Amino acid sequence: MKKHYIRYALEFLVITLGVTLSFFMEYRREKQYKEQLKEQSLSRIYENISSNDIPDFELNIRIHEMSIRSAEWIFEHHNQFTEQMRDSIGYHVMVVSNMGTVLVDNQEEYRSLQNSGLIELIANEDLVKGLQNKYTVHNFIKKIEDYNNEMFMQNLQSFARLNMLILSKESTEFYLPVRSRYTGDLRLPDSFLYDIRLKTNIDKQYIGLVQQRLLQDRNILDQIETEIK
Amino acid sequence: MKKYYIRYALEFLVITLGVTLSFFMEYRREKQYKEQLKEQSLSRVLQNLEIDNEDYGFNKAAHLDALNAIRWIDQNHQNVSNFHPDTTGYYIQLAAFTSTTFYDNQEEYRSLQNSGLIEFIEDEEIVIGLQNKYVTHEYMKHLEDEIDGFVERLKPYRHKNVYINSEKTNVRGYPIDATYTGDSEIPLEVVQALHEKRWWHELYLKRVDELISGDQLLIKEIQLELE
Repeated sequence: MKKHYIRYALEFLVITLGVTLSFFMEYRREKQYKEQLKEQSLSRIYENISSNDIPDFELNIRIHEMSIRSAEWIFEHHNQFTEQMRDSIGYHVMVVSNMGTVLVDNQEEYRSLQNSGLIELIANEDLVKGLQNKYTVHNFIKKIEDYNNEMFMQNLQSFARLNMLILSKESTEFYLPVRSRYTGDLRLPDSFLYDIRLKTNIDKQYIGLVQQRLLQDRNILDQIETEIK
Repeated sequence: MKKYYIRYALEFLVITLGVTLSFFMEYRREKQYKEQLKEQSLSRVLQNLEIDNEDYGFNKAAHLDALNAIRWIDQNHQNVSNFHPDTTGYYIQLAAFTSTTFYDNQEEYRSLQNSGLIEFIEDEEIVIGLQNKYVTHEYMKHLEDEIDGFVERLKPYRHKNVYINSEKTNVRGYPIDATYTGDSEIPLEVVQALHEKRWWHELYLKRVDELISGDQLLIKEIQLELE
């Protein structure tokens, strides 16, 4: 009788251990597979940030800085436009009226990471928060751009269209005509100056936000490199 | 024969019990893992709630600025010539231009939702609270769009009657160095538009206060869930 007890107890133990070991091996295999997918996904996000987002931010900063410089030129000289060349006035009016940006970011890989649950496999908590924060801020940046475009750019462009003469077919790197001449009244309307003032305020806030974003993106890249190693 | 029945019955029992125990251990492991993920996720949601609170505070202050400015215009619109043009310009600028953009970090909540981990939250109040919160957030953004509509509607008046002197802003980043260049009386249609705008600001403030108390409660409940 005792022999039977021992036999069945051993059998029970062997079956339990065998099935548990199978589950454990499957769990390890699944985890390794998910880790591989996570690293693949992070590599793509790395690529998106380094090849797309960072250059886009740097370009957008340049564009907003150009607009600010032209706005400042206009504020400095608008009371003495009779002493300025109409081509110079034309250039600055053209820049301030047309220099706006549209952030086009590729969120697809991040959304896949998020929706698949693979984001939970990222050991570095700061990286997770960094990525979440990044895409939240992207939405805010787009909102600022929409606001800038709807509130100011349309009016400024209407004014420019009525008061500018395009003198060349060639354009600069930002698709502005190389030469344009201001043909309007040398006393700029208050509404135009008002819009430039507010737009410049928003341009400066935009630059501050994007510069901060650039620093944080570079930090995210470092963290992804560490996570993938 | 009876011996064989007993023997195979025992074999069957041993195998069933062994496999069941293994499955049970796997189930426990999986459950613990998901609990851990749920707690990690809730901790992040908690941090997001705390950041949202700061945003509410900022936006609330901006809307209060607008309300105060509208109140000033309401009291003085018939005799603005009694005041310095810079004072009138300051109030018109704040009243007519102030709007906010609420941006919330929904990422962790969406992860919680999409991964199914939200089902592991025992406290039903937290689940309902979170769902209601983010639905209300969308409503707040709609209120902000309505207020933006008034900012746009009042733009022609601002263009004609307010001159921005410099880039100087208040602590919330709104330009305030403005001079009023219009008539001694602010037109009735502008005052009416500001009255309507005021209604939206008041509704926004009421909703923000509800969100703030809702979030305080959620924070307590999440902290209890995490203990």
